[in-house]
Amino acid sequence: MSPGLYIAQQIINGVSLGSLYALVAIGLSLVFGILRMTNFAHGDMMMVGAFGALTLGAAGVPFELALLGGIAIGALTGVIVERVAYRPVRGAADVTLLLTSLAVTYILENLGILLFTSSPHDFPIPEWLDSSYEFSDGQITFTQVNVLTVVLTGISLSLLGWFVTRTDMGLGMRAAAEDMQAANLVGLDVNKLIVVAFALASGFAGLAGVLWAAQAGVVEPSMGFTPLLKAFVAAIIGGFGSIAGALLGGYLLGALEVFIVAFLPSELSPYRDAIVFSLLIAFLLFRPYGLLRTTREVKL
Amino acid sequence: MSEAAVPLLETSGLTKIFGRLTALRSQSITVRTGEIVGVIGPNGSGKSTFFNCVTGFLRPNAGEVRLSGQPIQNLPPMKIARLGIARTFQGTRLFAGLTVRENVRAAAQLRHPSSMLDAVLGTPRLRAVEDKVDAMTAELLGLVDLHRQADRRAGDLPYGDQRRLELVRALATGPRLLMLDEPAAGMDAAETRRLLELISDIRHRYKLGVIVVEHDMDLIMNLCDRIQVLAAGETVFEGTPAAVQAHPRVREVYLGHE
Repeated sequence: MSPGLYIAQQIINGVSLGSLYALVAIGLSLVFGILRMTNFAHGDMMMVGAFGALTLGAAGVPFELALLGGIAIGALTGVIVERVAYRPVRGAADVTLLLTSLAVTYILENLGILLFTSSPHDFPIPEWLDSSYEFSDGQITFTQVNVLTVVLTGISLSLLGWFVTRTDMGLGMRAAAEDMQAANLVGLDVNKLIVVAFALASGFAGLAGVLWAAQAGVVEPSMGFTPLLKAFVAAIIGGFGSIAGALLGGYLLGALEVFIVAFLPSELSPYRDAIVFSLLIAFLLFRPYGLLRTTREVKL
Repeated sequence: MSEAAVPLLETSGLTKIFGRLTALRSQSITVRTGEIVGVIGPNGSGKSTFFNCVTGFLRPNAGEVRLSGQPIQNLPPMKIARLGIARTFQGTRLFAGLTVRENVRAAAQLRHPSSMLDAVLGTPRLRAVEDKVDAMTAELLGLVDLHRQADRRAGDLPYGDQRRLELVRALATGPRLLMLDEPAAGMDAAETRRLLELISDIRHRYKLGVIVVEHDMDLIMNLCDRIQVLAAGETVFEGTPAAVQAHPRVREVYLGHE
């Protein structure tokens, strides 16, 4: 097998995985940027979105609509969680917010177990999605789900970029992320901006959840945990609170994970996650602002 | 009562207590449109507490704040900003990571909103609003000579420019009352002189009432129509700059420190 094709295959794998990390990491960063809060329940919006799409699919809704439904259900859940759990404790000590988000995680996951049991469910995908591409005699292969992941991530992130840089509300959100009090003072409706940030972040997580489930073929209530940790690492690598940083971190992490498995001796493959989290510790120690430094200190 | 008879801002019996400290005791002040009123006093005399009570950052324990007759002391800061009170801070509170232009635009949304629908569809309404905001931004940045810095990051501006930007950002919200907290702090004599001209100019141009807290006596005496002197949360004296300078107790509690 030619090394060039092998590398190309790994890049494809890395971009596909990195897209999912980027989607989740950007949501973490959006919320952190405006509230300075690490939302540990963010991974559960993936689970909610995936189960939402699964339930809609089981009720006969076509996959394309169920996917949109998963995004909407994720976004709605994020908005409800903000309203019910986070807003009442806003302005309290950081650790209060942190613990609240952990509590929300437990509640959502146990709700998932209550409704769907803790065992994995098959996540059916339609025929058009259940196919793969092969090039160069099968030396390069990728699935239709990979393509869908990369395309939908690209569309979502482009829309986010447009929103943040070209609209009043996006400008307001960036202003509130810089200084919430000053934003209040120039008459920006900070509550509304926070709700929109949660809706966007959780909608992205819902999308990531459906795509993740489509790739894995299964959904389970605890499915959000690992991607959340990975997205957290990605956001730290890029610079916590920075949208561009989360994007960069997501793709770097995706590529790194794939490359560890592909290019390091196979005995090291089981240590993939250990290597990734060592990287997190290294960044926290030596470059806590990440690659794209944000203007504020990092609060964890 | 005729419209003109209702003052722009009126506080009465305004009291704020922190634990055992009465930061502001039964303070009353009246500001009319077109008037510049100075509030002076030593550190800890209650000037910032007064600002914070009027702008909604603190809730007074007693007393009323009325804007054009409407009680506002229980409203949140965002609502008060919408009703037409804008302020600057001691030390700046700019959106440091945004550009100079974006700082003004973020504030200009208040009077010139465009909906998401306009933004998505690129409606003619959006174009009209954007043109208005662009014109206003250019005018405001021109006032403080920042139009050539419009695309710089606000946090990278020299300190004096940051103060001036904060002032025009406050103006961009279309206020009726402008509250300036030590606007001349850190400025040299020439800059202070320009600031004085700017403040007198904008009160007519934008039909504002202005309240200034300031330690720079030169600025206060030359700028203000009336001055209120606070000490330990209480109003010691109120009058014209000449009367304030002549008053023996004022010299004792405040000017003596100069």
